[in-house]
Order: sequence, then structure tokens, then C-alpha cells
Amino acid sequence: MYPLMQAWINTYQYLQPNIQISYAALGSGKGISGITAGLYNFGESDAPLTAAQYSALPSGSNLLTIPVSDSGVIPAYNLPGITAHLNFTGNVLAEIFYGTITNWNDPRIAALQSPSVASTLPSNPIQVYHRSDGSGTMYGFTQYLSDSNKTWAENVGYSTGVLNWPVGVGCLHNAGVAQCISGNQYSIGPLEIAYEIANPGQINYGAVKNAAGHFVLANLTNIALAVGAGVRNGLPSTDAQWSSFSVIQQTFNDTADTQIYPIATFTYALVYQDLSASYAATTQVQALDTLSFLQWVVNSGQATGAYLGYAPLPASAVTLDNQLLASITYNGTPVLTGS
Amino acid sequence: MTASQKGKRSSRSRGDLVLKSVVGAAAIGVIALLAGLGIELAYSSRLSISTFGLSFIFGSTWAPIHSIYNAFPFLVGTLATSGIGLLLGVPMGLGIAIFLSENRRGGRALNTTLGSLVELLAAVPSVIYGLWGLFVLVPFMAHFVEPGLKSVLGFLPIFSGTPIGTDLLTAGVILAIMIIPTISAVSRDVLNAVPNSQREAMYSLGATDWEVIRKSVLPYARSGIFGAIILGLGRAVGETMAVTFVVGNNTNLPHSLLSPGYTLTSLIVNQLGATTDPLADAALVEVSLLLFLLALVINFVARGLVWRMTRKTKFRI
Repeated sequence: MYPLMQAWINTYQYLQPNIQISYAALGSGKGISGITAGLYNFGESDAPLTAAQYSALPSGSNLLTIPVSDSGVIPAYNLPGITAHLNFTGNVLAEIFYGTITNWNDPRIAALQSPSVASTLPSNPIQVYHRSDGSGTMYGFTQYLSDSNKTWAENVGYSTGVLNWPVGVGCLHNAGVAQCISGNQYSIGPLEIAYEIANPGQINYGAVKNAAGHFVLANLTNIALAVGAGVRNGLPSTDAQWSSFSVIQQTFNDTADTQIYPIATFTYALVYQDLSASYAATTQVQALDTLSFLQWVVNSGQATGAYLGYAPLPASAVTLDNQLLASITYNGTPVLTGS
Repeated sequence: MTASQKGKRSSRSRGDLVLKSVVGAAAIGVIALLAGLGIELAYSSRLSISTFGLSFIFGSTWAPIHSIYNAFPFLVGTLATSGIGLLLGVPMGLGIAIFLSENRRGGRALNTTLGSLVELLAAVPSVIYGLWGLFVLVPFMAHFVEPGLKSVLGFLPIFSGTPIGTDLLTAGVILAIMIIPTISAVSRDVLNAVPNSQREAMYSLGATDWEVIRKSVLPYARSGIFGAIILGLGRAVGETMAVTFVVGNNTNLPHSLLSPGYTLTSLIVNQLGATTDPLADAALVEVSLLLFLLALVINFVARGLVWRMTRKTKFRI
């Protein structure tokens, strides 16, 4: 999330030299607690607020959750001699990361591959890696594992913070996970697709089975399709709905869309609907600048994201976002006038 | 008393008063800061303290899904990695200090240069150690050192498990490297402060170099060297970034030195900013409180031991 935000800010400040945006990358937790406390004009998060966080918001406030980008998590691995993309299901991934499946040539993994690939699977033990620090993409990945496997859901669950991964080694940040995987043979780990796109060809990753039964190899297109399917019924309108909204869960049983990638996530901007309220701690000028920036991000800024491996928002999401931004008011009048 | 004498006396005593006030205020300020820090940590973690009580320190379950946060595995990790750091770092650091203070060949220039080079180790930022550790030390440990250890000492339970490189042992090795300059610099100063009369007396009795060091210089400098070791331990316990990169970051209670683990510091780094509910926040602060108290206890115990060791001797450093 941070490289994308940094790129957006740099580009926007180049286009609008009079506007200064300062961004503190402290993690989603601090972004949410900061905006609750009125410290920031807007916040960013990789996961929507939980029910507990919504109840902690100032009374009478309406915090809008605005998707600004999407990303996906890929199962990256390092298997010498195997160049094919292995197939995985959510259940098999959960069993690998839980420690139930310990070797690469386990029949449960072999059953998902074509016979020619299955016979080349080595008997080596699987070395599991994961992120050690809090991360929205790990939130999405572990949510997917929870939905796929009951043992995982009951014992580990999902969270943006430090989780009790049953096996494996935690590496710091995406780059750390990539380094751990590429430096150790017979290893596997969840990686944000942005890393793979920014460093193509360096790491091998597998396809994941979606609800329609297809094994999909993640790319920006099928991730954008996934989030498009996720918002087909509109974005949640109330706080309570947002705290339980997730693209992964929306698409988990979506058998109609055959090309979507099942582990896709949004990243969100958080902004109060009434920026003149005292809890928003925003002046009129700041309100206009903030919303101009967010409007640019949602529309023209999407092209910047593609360079860094973040899929552009689907058109349906952009329309919904523009409606949300248009609804933000200052002293009763909408901040963004015109288109 | 003449007027001018009175004037001089009162201006001197006024100066004394100012000095005592300023210095006293600084001392009280530091104590107040320390107490304030401790109180703030305890207050911010009160939810976690009341929810978990003692099981926070002695329980091993870290399960956010069930809102259970226990920190014993992290305490074990901190103690184990710091222990290994001391075990490996003290002989090296002390050896360097003894060499630099007792070496007669090569002249003063050699000792000063060597001493400066060792102290350069302390100038390297901790995050660089972490990166070097991840890219260089971890593969080295995983492919050479740990399999070698296992082939010789694999029957010991502390060396059981698959050698993967990112584990408590590697974190201990990095900590050892980081505390060597601390221990050697302080010990060297302590050893240099031993009066030459001590050495000359032993030489006049016909002692060898090693006997002089062992029987006369080291005992004299005992309390100072112990202080150097405690400084090194303090640095090891608080070391964060270097450890986070290589310790493995696994919340399970480590059962061997080759297990991936967590230290109190690396947990704080990973969890910071990622907590989403008040209990997790409080648990994070309680981990910090635990670290704070651990550092205090180490220092108190060290002070106590130094006091006991030097109580009977006439000489103190």
C-alpha cells in the first residue's frame, strides 16, 4: 500500500504544486485510530473497520470507506526444476500453512496437478514462510484460508496483526517474504502480486481455484474482474455493512464469474462525510484539497497504480466512489462541485 | 569579617546553590522520566493486565482469534537470544580487551588502531546488521554451521529440529557481534585503569604474562568487567531491528535453539500499528512493560552483584 500511496502523492504534488500532502505510513491500525481521533484529514487502510472500531468512532459521525485500489495475494514458491505453475485450492493452501500437509509430493497437492507435473513433485518437506508484520494483504489471505478450511478458522482466523501461524517463519514486509522464498528451496509463502509485477520472472507462483472451478493465475486483469464482481451489488452503505464486507467473501461462492481470481482485496481511503464537524478537524481549504486528491486518485490516478502492480478499479467501483466523494459536505454544501 | 570577604563567600555559596539545584533537578528529572514511563506503560496496559493477570507472563497461547495474548514465548526468546549473545560475545569482547590492554608488541599505535576498528563495529546501524544477517548470515548458518552442529551435538534437545537459518541461534550470533564492541571498549578502559604496580609486583615474583593477567589484573578489574558485561546484556535485550530480520517470527514456544521464535522487541515491531481492538493494543503495551521491567531487573541484579563482589575488597573501579 505504501509504495502506491507514495507514488500517488508524488505525482499529484507534481501536478498540483500548491498542495502539500504529508503521509505517515504507520499501518492500518494507526490510520484508523488516527482518523477516529481527528488527527488526519483522511486515512488509508488495507482492511475496512471492524465492528469494534466503528463503535469507537465519534458519535453522530459517518465515516465513508472508499475503495481506491485493489490488490491480490499469490502463493509464491521456490521449487528447483519445476517451471510450471502449480495449482492450489484454498483448502490445500490452508493445510499447507497449518502444517497438516508437510511434503511437496503429498497426494493432496499432486491430485490438483496435471499428471506430468504431479510426477515431478519432489518429496522434500515444505518450508513455509509468511509475513511477520501486520498487513492488509495477510488479512485478506488469512480470511481466504479461514473461509476455505474450518480448522484454520477455529484456531488461527484472520487479523491485520501478528497471528499465531502454526508453522513457518515470518519475514518482514513483502520484500522480506520474497527474499526468504527465493533464498530457500522447497519453500512457499503468500506474496502481494504487486511485488511479482514489479519484479517479473524472479519468483514462481501458482494458480488458485476459484468458485467456478477454474485454476486462475493471478494478474491485474482477473483481480480487477474479481473486485468488479465483488461490488456488483453495490458498496455497503452503513458502517455495520462495511465491517463485514470483503471481496474475497463476496466472490467465494460466485460460480458465475469464471475468470475471477479468488484472493483479491481492496485498499480503502477513510474520510468523514461531514468534514466541517469538529471530530474531522479539517478546514474548508483542507477539505477541498483532500477531496480533489481523492477524486484524482480514483479517476486519473489509477494508471499510476498499474505500474506498481495494483489493478485499476473497475468502472463500477469508480462510479460508486465518485458518488461517495460527491456526497461529502462542508457546512451543508458538497465540497466537490461540478463533475 | 570585612564586607568584601562576606561578598565573596556569599557569591561562592550562591554559585554552589545554583550548581546543586541544576544538578539535582537533572537527577530528579531523570528519575521522574523513568517513573513516568513505567506508570504510563502500566496504565495503558491495564485492560490486558486485568484480563490475563499472571498468565500473560507464564502462558504460551497467542491466539488473536480467541482474544488470548500470552507473552511467555517472547520472554523465552529474548532471554535465549541474549544468553547466546553473551555466551559468544563475552569471551570475544574480553579477549579483545585483554589483548589491547596487555599487548606490548607493536607499540601504542597498533593498540589504538585495533581498538578503533573494533569500536567501528558499534557504529554500524542495527538495521544494517539485520539486512546483512538475512542475506549473508542466515544462509551461512542454515547450510554450514547448523548442520555441522547437528551432526556433532544433534542428540541434545536444544539442537533438535530442521536447520532453517532464521532461528534463535542466528539471532544470538548477531547479538554477540553487536555487543562485542560494547564489552571490549568498556573492558579495555577498565583494564587500562589497573595500576601498573599490580603488574610489576607479579612480574617481580616471576609470574608469566598469562599469570599476571589471570591472578592480578583481572581480579582487580572484576567489577568493571562485570559492568561491561551487563551493558552488553542490556544492549542485547533491547536490540530490535537486527533481531527481527533473523529470529524467525513464530509465536509458538520455541523448543530448541534451531526453532524460529519471537523476542519481546521483534513482537513490538511487528505488531505496532496493526492492532485493531483495545485488548490487542493493551497486550502490545504490556509486552513493552515486560521488556521495561526486564531491563530494570537486569540492572538491579547487576548492581547488587557488583556491590557484593566489591564489598570486601579495598579497591573499586
